[in-house]
Amino acid sequence: MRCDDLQGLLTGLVAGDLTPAQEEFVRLHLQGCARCQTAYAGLLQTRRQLSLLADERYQPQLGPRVSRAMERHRARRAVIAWSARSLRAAGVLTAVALVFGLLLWQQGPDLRSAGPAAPPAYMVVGRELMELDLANRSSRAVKLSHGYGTLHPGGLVIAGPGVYRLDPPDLLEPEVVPLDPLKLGPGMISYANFPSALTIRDGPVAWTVKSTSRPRQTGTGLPTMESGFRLDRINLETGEVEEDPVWKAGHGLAAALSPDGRHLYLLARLDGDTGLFVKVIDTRTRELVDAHRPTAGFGPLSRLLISTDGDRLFLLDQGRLLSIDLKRGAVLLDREEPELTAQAALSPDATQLVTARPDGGLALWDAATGEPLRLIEGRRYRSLTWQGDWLYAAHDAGLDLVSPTSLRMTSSMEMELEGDPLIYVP
Amino acid sequence: MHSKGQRREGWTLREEALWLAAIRAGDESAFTSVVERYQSPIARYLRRLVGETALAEDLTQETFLKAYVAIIQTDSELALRPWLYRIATNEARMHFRRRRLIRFLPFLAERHDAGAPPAEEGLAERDQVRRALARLPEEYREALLLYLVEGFKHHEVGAILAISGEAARKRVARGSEMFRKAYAELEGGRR
Repeated sequence: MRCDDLQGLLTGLVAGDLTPAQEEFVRLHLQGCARCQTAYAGLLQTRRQLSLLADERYQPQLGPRVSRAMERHRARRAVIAWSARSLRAAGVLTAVALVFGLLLWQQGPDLRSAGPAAPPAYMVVGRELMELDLANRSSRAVKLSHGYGTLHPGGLVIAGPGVYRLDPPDLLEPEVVPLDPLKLGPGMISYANFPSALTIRDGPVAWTVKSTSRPRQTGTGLPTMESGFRLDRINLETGEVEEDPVWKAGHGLAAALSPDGRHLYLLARLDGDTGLFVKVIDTRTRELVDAHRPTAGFGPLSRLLISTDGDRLFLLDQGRLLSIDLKRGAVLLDREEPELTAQAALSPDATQLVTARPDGGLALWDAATGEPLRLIEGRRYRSLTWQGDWLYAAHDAGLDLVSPTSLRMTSSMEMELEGDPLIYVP
Repeated sequence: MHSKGQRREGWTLREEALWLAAIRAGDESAFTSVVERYQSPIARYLRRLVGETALAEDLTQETFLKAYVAIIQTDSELALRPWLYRIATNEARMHFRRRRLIRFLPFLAERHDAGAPPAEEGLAERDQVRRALARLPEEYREALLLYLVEGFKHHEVGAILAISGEAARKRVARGSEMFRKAYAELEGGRR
């Protein structure tokens, strides 16, 4: 793991917010890395300094103020209700004006000019599943009953002990399937806001890469723990979780499913090995059938993409692109290019790639040669989805609809987004 | 350092569920208990975030008002403490958006309100910490305070800020770097 990738774990070490395996990993790294030792010391100093702000002597008594505010709120609501009744008697037009004024109080997505017809996109924002229809200038949302949720490839939302299947005709009336919480593993939740989530829906089932570990004897006789994973199968009709009996070595970082659902491709790291593997697992037997070893330059935030014909795999990271012929196991393309990032999307015919540029904007690439076709400047995009003739691009302040040929934004919706949200376009 | 086993301020989930049920059943004294339990931590958090005591109290009042309205309008489960912090954070954000300019005012009032004042050197460092924190963009300030002062876990910080737990970790790491740089700049200016 690169030192830059470790910074988040160092803050966890300072705050006591790591699992035992993570803490062991970080402390081992610190033993041999002066740079991270300096960063860790700096974080300890920051925590000490911020602790000076703790001021337990400040004890405001705000109960009476809050009570008065609640009374004013109730009085306001009563006036609004009375006004509505009066205005119904007075006429429909006046009531419409009042409703419009009330709508101005609400905060919702700011809709700009709509583009041509593009299918709506679905995203999870905080505690809501949102449908964003940029063509019709509308949005809908439903609150997730189990609190904050995460959207996964294939149209699945995981929130607490349940999953929501997003199905036609109305994806905002999802079926909720409760799961056995004891059988949920970190693989169902972790990395969920990254485009390559570790739980992928395939019609009536979902596959989830579940992290696990087992004791391993070392030559010194002292046991250590070895990281591994299992590929559990979830029946989305019954909620039954069929656990994988076959333990596989490695720690899963990103996953993608072949279009026919027969193979799962997992970007994984093995204990004690700084490199990465792309492991190929047969979903029928759940056994490892192949593995590819990319060259250096790929890390835990790499993006994994599979062509719709299932023949090619693309691996992208900051400044790197690798393409593998999955039938022959041959590397087709291995390219270094500073404008490449892991925020990427593949055209439906797999001839082109679009990536977010590191300093903002988009880049269009020939997927066969890795040559850049077009570069434009613009927003810093966090995730991209290419569906049909449209590119959906999420940034901090909302979602853009982009023409994949010109890379120009055609419409946009504003809302507060954080992280790398998955965009689902069925 | 807050250990994993340490119980922070607040009730257990079961206690929270009972209070929420009582509020939804129309028992306003139950909501008063919620205010009494959480007004101090929320007000302290907002005061660190916005840098002004009176403003922090206004925002705390709005936080609880919005919380009350939301509780009686929904019947979903709530983890009360992080949820209240989320409302409080959003109130602060709306305030910043309205003002467009962040001014930091040292807590001069508390030096007179408090009991025996702390040692002068410690107070100077605390003021410098506040000044350095005020130089950070809001989103990094929020993450640092929630993680390193309020003691939330990274996934809780993510839930409060509506980002992933991993994004929360990154934001804390980046915010720490920015804080150290700001503190060093202020230190250099003092000498």
